[in-house]
Amino acid sequence: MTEFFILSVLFVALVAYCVAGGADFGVGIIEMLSPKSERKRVRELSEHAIGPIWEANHVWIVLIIVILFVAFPKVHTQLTTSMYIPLLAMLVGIVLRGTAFTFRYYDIAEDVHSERLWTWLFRLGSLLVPVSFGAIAAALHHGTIPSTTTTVWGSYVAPWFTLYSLCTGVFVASLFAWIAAVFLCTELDAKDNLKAWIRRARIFGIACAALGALASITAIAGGTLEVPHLLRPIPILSLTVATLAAGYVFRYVGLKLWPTRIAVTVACGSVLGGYWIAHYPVAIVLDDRVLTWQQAAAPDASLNAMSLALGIGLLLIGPGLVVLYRVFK
Amino acid sequence: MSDLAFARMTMAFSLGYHIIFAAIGMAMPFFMSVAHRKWLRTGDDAAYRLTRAWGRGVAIVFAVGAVSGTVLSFELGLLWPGFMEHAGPIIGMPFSLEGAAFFLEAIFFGLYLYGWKRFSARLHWWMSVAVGVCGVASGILVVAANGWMNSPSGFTWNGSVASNIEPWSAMWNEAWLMQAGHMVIAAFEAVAFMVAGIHAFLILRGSTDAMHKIALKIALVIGAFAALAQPIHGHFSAQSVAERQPAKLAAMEAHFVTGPRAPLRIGGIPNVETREVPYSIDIPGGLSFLAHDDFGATVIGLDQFPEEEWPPVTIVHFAFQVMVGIGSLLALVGVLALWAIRKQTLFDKRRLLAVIVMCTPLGMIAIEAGWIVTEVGRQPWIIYGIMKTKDAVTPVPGQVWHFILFVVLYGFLAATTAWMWRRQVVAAKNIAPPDAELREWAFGEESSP
Repeated sequence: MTEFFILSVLFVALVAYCVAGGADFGVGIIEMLSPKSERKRVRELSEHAIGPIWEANHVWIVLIIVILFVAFPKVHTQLTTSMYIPLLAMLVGIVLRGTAFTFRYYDIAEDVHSERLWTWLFRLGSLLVPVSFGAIAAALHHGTIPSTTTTVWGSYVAPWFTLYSLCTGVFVASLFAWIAAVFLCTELDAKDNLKAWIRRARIFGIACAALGALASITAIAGGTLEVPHLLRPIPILSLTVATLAAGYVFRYVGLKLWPTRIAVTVACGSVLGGYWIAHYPVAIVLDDRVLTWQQAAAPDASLNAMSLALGIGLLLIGPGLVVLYRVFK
Repeated sequence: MSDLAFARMTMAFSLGYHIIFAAIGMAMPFFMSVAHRKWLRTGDDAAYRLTRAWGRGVAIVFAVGAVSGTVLSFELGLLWPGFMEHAGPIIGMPFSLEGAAFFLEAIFFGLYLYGWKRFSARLHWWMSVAVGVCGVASGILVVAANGWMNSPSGFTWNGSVASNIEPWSAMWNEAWLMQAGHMVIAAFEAVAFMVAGIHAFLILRGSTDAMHKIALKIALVIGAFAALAQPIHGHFSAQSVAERQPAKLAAMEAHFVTGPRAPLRIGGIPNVETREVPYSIDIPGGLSFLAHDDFGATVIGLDQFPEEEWPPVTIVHFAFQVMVGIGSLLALVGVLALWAIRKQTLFDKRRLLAVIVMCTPLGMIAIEAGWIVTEVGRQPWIIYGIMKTKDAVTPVPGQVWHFILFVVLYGFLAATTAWMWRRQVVAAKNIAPPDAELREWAFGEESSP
């Protein structure tokens, strides 16, 4: 029961990170892909949108890590050893991105040279995080992680250096960009060309769906996913919900504000949730066996204490977040 | 060097960087609150501008500190998976609560920083207090985890696996509150002297902006009280270390041979081979008194431990000397400053101001030194008496590259932050006084011109 509660919080934190943090990284990707003339506006809008909630958006990843090492230490250990390199890449991205944001947002003077450097780092960081994040997520169920240490390549590179992992990384980057594009459409004011922004959000949506399909194909090709798996109730349900939500966003993006924000979250959550429930109770697939959440779980005393801490935390943080978003959104 | 050595250096580097931001994040919001309150009470424009200037400083530190804190949460697992696998379930409680406190701090900080004119002036001020309270709470909570590494409790260990885990008693380990108190006081002391130094520098350079005078007074009063409290607290801290980790205390004092009337060694260069400390000034019985309140008491020396369980004596001894030396100096400067404030002669005493400027980095250096004492002093253990650091390190080879990457990354980050702060300090004079609308919001109709 407590384990289930903690897993639910973990799931909520993952979705929250993908939506709140993801939108944040997505903005960097959009900025990179926008024509020069529009970059400034993208930046203005994103800073306006992100400024007050920037730190709060990024605490989710810390919560995810803490839940893993307290409640599911074996998953955490497996992750931090097998996924050492992409986790490090993600860290570099987080550092570059965070510093660049701080710098661009809080620094006072206008300075063209340093400005260019920061813009470049900002984008690099924005891309590095989702790609690594997606690559890690995909590798967890790909069956490429050796259960005993072999060579450096076999233990620390091969697990994530697969077509499926890398495609999933690119898919997650496009997902974050799509979320950001939808959110940016809710921040516009009268002087913006609404139609152009809507078109852009739709293009990102289509790209995201295409890259998602591509990642699925590589999963089938790589043997992680078999077509019959997709025809079970949970994948069908989650894909249907995601498609409907994404379709709603496609239709109403920029026209309805809160409903499209919520629909984006639902779409993201149902893909993640479907993926997760379909694998449950397996946490990580190793090359010769699986590691389930139960096997990885900490003793009951730790789980109980953790649930209590999470309960207290959520009781305090929940209302706080609501106030924060209400005031600034 | 071995992978273990590089992993330790990477960790030291990440923590040494983060601790500065953590300390500022703990103390600085209170400074901001005090200045803010002064403005609300007196309507003094300078106090308002100071509040805004400090608020910007805190915002930068907070944003960078959030990043370096996130990095640490990853690094613990990346570098020390053997430690985290066992320690996580035991000591996860304060980590989770720390996360919650930090989350709340982020929320309150967002509300405070962007909430001018959005709430009532009084509620808005309380948010700055909430930021500080959450910051200190998260600092205290995370020290619980370090306290547990020094004084492990709340489980039974069979040599490879922990059982009978009691997260609460692990959190309430013996070292926690002692260490947390020392850390909180240190944060206020270091930040106060850092801030005082910056403002004293601007005054000495000829700035007549009233903002700096207010800032200097606030910082010096807080700094002086913290600097006076710290030696007293430090004394109890040392006694607690003497009881729990005699090897660490022995390394701090380069105390090789067990015996009564142990001297307090000031300075000196410990020679581990000959077990002597040439060039030191010894106060007979000083260490005995410090550790056991009795000049004749016997103090356990390093000879009671096998040599492979000795911490690196020279590093720990030097770091301890640096910490205590700076602490004493700052206490002295604090007293002089308090006296001058009372006599209202502070701003005429240019030499005192110059000394205060020179003290700018000292508090932070003392924090780093203290951190080295507690961390290096615990070696070779990662969990004292339970698990050696070498058994906790990651199997991933090539740690030298991780280290180089982090030196470059953090060097860059440090340079950037310092540069940003510098620009904020330079630009502080341009912060506008409150406009009529803001005054009306804060003081009501009658005060607007």
